[in-house]
Amino acid sequence: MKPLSAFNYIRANRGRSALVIFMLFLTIMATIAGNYIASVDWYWAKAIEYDKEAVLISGLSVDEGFADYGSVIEDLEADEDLTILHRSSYGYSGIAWTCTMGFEMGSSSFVFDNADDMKAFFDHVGVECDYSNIHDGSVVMSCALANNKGLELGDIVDYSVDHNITGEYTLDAIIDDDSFIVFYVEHSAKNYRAYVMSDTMSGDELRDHIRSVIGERKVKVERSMEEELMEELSIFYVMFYLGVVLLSLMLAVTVNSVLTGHYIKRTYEFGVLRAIGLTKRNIRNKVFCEIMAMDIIAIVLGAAVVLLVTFLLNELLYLPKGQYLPYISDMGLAGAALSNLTVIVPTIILKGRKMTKADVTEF
Amino acid sequence: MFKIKNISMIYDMNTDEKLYALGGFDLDLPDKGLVGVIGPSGSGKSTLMYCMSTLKDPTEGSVEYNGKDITKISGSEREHLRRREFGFVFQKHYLVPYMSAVDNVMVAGLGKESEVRAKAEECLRKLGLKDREFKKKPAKLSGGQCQRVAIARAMINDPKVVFADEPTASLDHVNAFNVMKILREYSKDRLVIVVTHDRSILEGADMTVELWDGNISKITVA
Repeated sequence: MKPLSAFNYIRANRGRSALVIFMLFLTIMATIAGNYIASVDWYWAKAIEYDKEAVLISGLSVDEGFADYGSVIEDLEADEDLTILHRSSYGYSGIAWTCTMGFEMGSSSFVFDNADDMKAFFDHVGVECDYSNIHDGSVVMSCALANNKGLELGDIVDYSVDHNITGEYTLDAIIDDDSFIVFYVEHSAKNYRAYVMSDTMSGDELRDHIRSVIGERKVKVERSMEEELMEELSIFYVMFYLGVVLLSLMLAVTVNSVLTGHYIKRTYEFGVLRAIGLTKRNIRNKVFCEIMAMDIIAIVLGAAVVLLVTFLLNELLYLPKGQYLPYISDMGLAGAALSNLTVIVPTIILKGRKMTKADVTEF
Repeated sequence: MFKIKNISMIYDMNTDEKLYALGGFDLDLPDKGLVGVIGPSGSGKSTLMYCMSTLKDPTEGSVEYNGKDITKISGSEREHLRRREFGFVFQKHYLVPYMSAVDNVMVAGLGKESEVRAKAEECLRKLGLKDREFKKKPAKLSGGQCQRVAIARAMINDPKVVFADEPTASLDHVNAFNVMKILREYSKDRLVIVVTHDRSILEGADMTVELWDGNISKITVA
């Protein structure tokens, strides 16, 4: 091992290094918080994916007798390329399921007027389902939701048990889906909403096309589920990143204080190294490598702990079982990176600069 | 090798009473030999050494080394000079406490790691350290052994000039004698500049420069 190598320093200064590694390790814990928030997004992912394949339109209450709505539907039906699912819609407060730490969340839900419309939708978005028992008053659930609620085929989904449901339904099919999603078949004559699907146009193209068909008529093209959800969830993302930055700044100050103590004791070491001809770049590299080496150890340890904690939470705490907390997510990684960089970048710059100024003649 | 012209160093430049560490004098030093710079505390001997070794810039005057004024060269040229042509032994050994004896010598070495290690071990052996002491950290070595490690660090690149600032100040008589013996030996074909306030260690020096209040009071050439 080279005498100036970072690992030589860490090996010889285990106590000091362990303290710094522990603090850098804490930055990686932001991954769990990020994963937790990302998991909320993840629960809706399938619903968003399905919703992208269709466009929801609604009649407006200002449209007297829903005359405009009726004429728009007629125009759309005249287009052979389009499929109209009358009296269909989506929502976010379907059957409530128990999520992380015991909180309850509404599942994403789709309502269809009849079994044929549900089949048309499922065929369009690629969901496989056994339709043999589907009728008015049926519920189709993802297996993750059914497991979470402890429901089996034929069970009554009772209003008194779950206040998010407006009636009594029978669980008549379970689809192989790991998100929390529910589909109702419910005929309601006074429902002025419809899903429009196309085999040739993408969701956005279809949306534009429908807008052009609607023109000035009093019919609304609903925003996509993704758009609505992102608006709702964006506050959580902002809070998460703000929280990460604030905590990381506090950690950065602490780490810098600890390292300042370390480096004050080492000023003469760097002064001597400068005196015997090591360049400023050599000194900066040494500081950079030492802090980075400790950071890499912290990241590896942190990642191992994140995986272990996630495993334990998923397997032991979050019951009934299901993958409630993702092991990895963009948000978790971004949170950890932001937190870690907030701590180590100023540390490397400040300590590197200070040590290049160490002067042996001042001792 | 060194031609010092009208060198002066003023501390506290902004105060009314300027403090002259070096008062403006000329000095020529030979290419090899043991040169002692002697004087009481505050006479400017360490400041002179720092100016000659590029660790400090004089306020005025020049320090020519091999015909080049090294007070005017860039930072990287100074680093190059200190790394390849100069060696330093400080009053306190200033070894890195978490490194072994051999690692402390290696930090100054140039070249491949295996070659530097071999050379560092050779230097330490020449200076009287036993192989079993190579891996000991400074805290496990005696003051004399630490100073010999510091000398090995100064000599690993075969520098043309070794600057030794009070190299025996923290040593007992026996160790002080041994350290000076090593430096005297090295000065047979290199220049060794020893800064000290202890006249007794300069016995056999080729040249002695006596400083008093920042000026040369006497130069003795053997």
